[in-house]
Amino acid sequence: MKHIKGTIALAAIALAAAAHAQTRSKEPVEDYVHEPMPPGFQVVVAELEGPVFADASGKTMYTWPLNAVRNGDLGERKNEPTCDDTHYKVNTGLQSPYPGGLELPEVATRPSCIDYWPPVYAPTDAKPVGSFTVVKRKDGKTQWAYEGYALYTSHLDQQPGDVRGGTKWWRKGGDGRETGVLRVPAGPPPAVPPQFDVNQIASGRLLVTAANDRSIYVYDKDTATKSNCDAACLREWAPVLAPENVKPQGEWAIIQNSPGVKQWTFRGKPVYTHILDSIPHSREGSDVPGWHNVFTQVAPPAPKGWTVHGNREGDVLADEQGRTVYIYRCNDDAADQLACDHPTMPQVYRLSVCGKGDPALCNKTFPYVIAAKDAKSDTRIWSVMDIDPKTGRKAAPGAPGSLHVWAYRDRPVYTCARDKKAGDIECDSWGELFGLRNGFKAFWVRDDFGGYHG
Amino acid sequence: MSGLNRRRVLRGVLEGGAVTVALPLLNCFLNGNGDALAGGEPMPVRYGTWFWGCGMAKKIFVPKETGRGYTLTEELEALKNVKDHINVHTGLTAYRDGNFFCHYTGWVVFRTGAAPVVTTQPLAESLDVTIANKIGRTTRFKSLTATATGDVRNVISYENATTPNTPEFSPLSFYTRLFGPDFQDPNAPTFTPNPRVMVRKSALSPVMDRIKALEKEVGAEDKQRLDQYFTGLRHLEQQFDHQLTKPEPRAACVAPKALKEEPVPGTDSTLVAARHKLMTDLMVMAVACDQTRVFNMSMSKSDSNQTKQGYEKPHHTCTHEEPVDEKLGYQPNASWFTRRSMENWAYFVEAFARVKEGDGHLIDNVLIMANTDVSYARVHSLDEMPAFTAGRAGGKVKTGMHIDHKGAQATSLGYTTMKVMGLDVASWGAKSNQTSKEVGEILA
Amino acid sequence: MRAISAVFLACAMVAGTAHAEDVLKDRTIGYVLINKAYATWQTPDGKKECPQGFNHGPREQFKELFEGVTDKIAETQLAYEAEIAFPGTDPETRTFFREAQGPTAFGLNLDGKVGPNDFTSPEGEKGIDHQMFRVVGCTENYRGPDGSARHFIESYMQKFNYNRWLLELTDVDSLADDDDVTVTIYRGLDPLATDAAGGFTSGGTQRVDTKRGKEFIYTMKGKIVDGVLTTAPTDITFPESQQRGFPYQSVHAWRARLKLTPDGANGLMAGYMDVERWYHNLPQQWSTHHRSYGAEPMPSQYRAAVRLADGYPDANGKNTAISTAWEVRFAQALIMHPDEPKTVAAKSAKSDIAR
Repeated sequence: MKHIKGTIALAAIALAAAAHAQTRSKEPVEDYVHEPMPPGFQVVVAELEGPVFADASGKTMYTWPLNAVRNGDLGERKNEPTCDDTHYKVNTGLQSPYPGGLELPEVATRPSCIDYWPPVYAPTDAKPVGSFTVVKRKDGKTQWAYEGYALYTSHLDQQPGDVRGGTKWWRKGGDGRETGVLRVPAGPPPAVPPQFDVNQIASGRLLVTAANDRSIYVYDKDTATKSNCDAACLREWAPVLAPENVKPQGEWAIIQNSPGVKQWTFRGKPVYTHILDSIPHSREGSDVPGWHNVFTQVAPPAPKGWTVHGNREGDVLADEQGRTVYIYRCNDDAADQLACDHPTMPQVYRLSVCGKGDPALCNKTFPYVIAAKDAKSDTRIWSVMDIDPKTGRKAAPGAPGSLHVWAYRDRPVYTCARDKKAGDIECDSWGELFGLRNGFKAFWVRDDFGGYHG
Repeated sequence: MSGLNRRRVLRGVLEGGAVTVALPLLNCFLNGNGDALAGGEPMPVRYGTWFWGCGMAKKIFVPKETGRGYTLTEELEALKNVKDHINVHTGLTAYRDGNFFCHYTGWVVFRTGAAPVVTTQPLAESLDVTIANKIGRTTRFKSLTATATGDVRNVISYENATTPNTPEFSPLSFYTRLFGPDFQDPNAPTFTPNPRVMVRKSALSPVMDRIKALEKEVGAEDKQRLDQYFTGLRHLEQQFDHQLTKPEPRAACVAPKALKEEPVPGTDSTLVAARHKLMTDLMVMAVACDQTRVFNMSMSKSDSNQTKQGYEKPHHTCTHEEPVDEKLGYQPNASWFTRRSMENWAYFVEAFARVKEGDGHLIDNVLIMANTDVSYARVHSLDEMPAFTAGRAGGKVKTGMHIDHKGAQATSLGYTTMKVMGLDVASWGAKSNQTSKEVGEILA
Repeated sequence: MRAISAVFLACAMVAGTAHAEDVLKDRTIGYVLINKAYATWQTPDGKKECPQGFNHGPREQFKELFEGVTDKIAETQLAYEAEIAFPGTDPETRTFFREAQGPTAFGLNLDGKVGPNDFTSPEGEKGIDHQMFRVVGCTENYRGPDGSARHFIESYMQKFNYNRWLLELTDVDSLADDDDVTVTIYRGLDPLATDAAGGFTSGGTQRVDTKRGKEFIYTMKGKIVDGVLTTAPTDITFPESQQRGFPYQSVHAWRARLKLTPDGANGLMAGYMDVERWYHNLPQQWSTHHRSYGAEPMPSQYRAAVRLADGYPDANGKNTAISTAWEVRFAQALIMHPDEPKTVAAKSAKSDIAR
């Protein structure tokens, strides 16, 4: 009974999280393919990442797929979990050009992989369910896996819907040669026909074509049953045609513009690609009045009063004063590839690139984004926290000398002293591996040329 | 032939699970001359591809002479025993058509006919799939794809634009796939054969009686062939067994400081060569036994991360960082890696040349295209790209030549192989890579 | 020993058959940049201009700085990255930077004078201002034909539309001689046109980027003598990205000297490049790993550039810009303007990086 109650309570929390997201944004959330799951597993719709698998307590589950770093591969192969209780002391030298065998920072207190990434253990008599299988660990225990990749939770996630350990952002899991080998939230595939795919970007879950990531658009003047894109319009907009034998399913339906010519509709709107789009996952088409990119789920809005500014490359998020906001990212080069970008983690990486090791210079070069004393966030993805600027670590609220700052995914965000006007991006790609491995990237909300945007 | 089914396999039960042992193309399956099947069908011509990453050093790769009797260059030295079975192709161009993705565009053009427009997938299926769709329908496997890198992500074959053909990356699981039961039903109450058990006791053991009976029925030459085949298979099993009983060897990263922690995965070139050998032997067996007529092998990934003992940079990084030696006129370590690739290529070709088939050898009845992703890796050049063909395709292809294509489309090579394999296509490829020209020099 | 000039890796331009006046439409002709690299004078073995050899890059410097000293990441890798992010100007004691030597360099005479530090061009022109050659000339990343940075800067310039750079000549009466033409620089939006052989060709179309590229629009005067265009010195900025960061270069008194044909234009461009802006872009564009490709030590280069800076002194008299020359090649292109008023006033680029 307790178990059931517990399950219901947890389910309620999960639903509440999803409902909260829905109510807050009044936007729909991503529909997904419903797969059979082991007992207790559930799907939680995260604010940014969309549907993710979660364990019985609502904690997001992640995989750590094998990926190439510059000089080799790290991460896990299918059916071979390697994340264990080893306390690594030196780096691997796989990042290039730096050698291996260098002592890691704060080595005496460096956590092990499973400290940060508790495995999702399976009972010894667990049976595979759908794409979930049971894999044997080196320590003899059994662990759940999805599509062969062992599942873990993140010590950073606290509530259902938190996805702080990893992201679907950045090229569907990461380019290990630049970001290091990242953990990826596991989740069911989006419920879209095979012609389509969903790309994770800062603004949400963008609908694209599967073949070449071209953005999908809808038109204000269309209805659920009719496309009003006439001959002139068709010179610029290509209807995404549906194959002969498809049937409507979920949010997808089909209309017939001309006899035999079937076009997909999504959420009651015919869908198109924009012929003039010059890059994949483009936003250019939405510059044309009446046309809009399609998101299966939009990201939560930024804090009140924040703005978006254009520059020579795209658009960036800025605080109330119009100062470009930056995200700091870090992944170390140890064999377990632990993150180093959270205020509970060693700060020496960040301090080296933001201030040559000097916190005062850091705070001058990359000031925190100060939040008002009573500032609140309606979402989990944006939050306020207290930071000790001398150490970069979390501080007790109201502690002397502490700063009350804005954070994204539970990590402080910054501005850049070199930026002089709205839209400036002087500190974009700052640090190691263009700001992806140990450095800063501007918070890009739009990219018009196809560069690396994190 | 009594007791032999249409697919020429022996079936048995090992520890309660089914095993399948395929047979090589024995004389008894052929006509009197040994140049066609007993039923009158021509000897099957098989098609394969082979891949190596990071190109070559033109100065010491491209032979000076063209046609027959060319002199093998330094980087091609390893091919001396297979020179008569191959053709060296140089001077090929892969056109970018407005997009270029490092270590991707080049080989995708070779294999799919079109320059990709995104980094993650091509525009069309690869040519091995096109060929397999024509000739692969009657065999147990439409095609087989394997990689020696140990990495499941190293794709060189696309079923279609969005579906890569995932390679076999583990010799042991490749073996299990070839010699395990035909079907693996996850809901069945019976177990899945444990490969460890299979190799210990040998997949041959449940069919041993049938093998003995078969040997009595066939002629001397076939008996010898069976013996060679089964001995080879048993040897492979013993190698697996050996590997399973001790830790898989791992090379430390070749940084100056020795690693005390987790060793890096097996990218050392000696490990790769060993893996390549095992995968090749299995693949050749599968082809010889007509389990498939289309096969792909990648020896490295395109931005090859193979390492060399005592050298701190993996192959790809080396191609960018190593200065050109003043005296030699090329990058010595980068060339070292290319030479290892050529050794592996030689092994691959030789493996087909060793298997007797009919009145010749298996190499006579295959056509293999080998390609890479760039010519000069340092600058990701797609001009003057090299490639190889191997095998005589049942007499349709001449071998032993160096052909300088003088800038012609790289796709002309793939197109030629498709035509040789009997595909009636007027042209192949897209935009600047579209071609309808065959490489006449190699056609018999 | 004959000196060998740096050569481009890009394909040759298609030879045209059009006559000059045929391509002038409404006294206008447009060009799009298809090749660009620092003009580096080189000898085949580099011994003349680099008698001490070529520079050590991050790997080698790492050993020189840290081997046997410390093996902690914080004191090695992170210290090196910190130095890259905040380079000093104090002399380096454990590493040694090799500057290009000798009296010969490609380039233009920017200040109209023949000074003691100036070069003489291989053709004998004196007063050549190109101190950047000293900074990059002995770093393999920038030496032709296949220096990695040299190759990839050009490669990304060609394939990443953010870098699309257009030159439009208006008020042109003759491509042979005209003492008063107007030259406008734009950023374009379109890929480069290629021919069937994959070479960049003339005749393509380029739309002007007036949405995000306004900051790159500059207008100046020029004159054409014997088919060679020279432009008046103008402060400009231009996009230069390897698709990771999105930086730009800032050049004072930029000018071009280009041989014009109906199919294209080639020659030199030069000016005083803002040192802080140039250096700031280096790690943004390419990581330490990539700089290793051609053994390029960023902090050492910074020191050299600061030391060799020869123009635009700040309030303290310290030069903030360094004379730089590039070899450039343009292909003729049809430049299309959206229906907007054209910007005609020349704009200045400031040295705006605060340290």
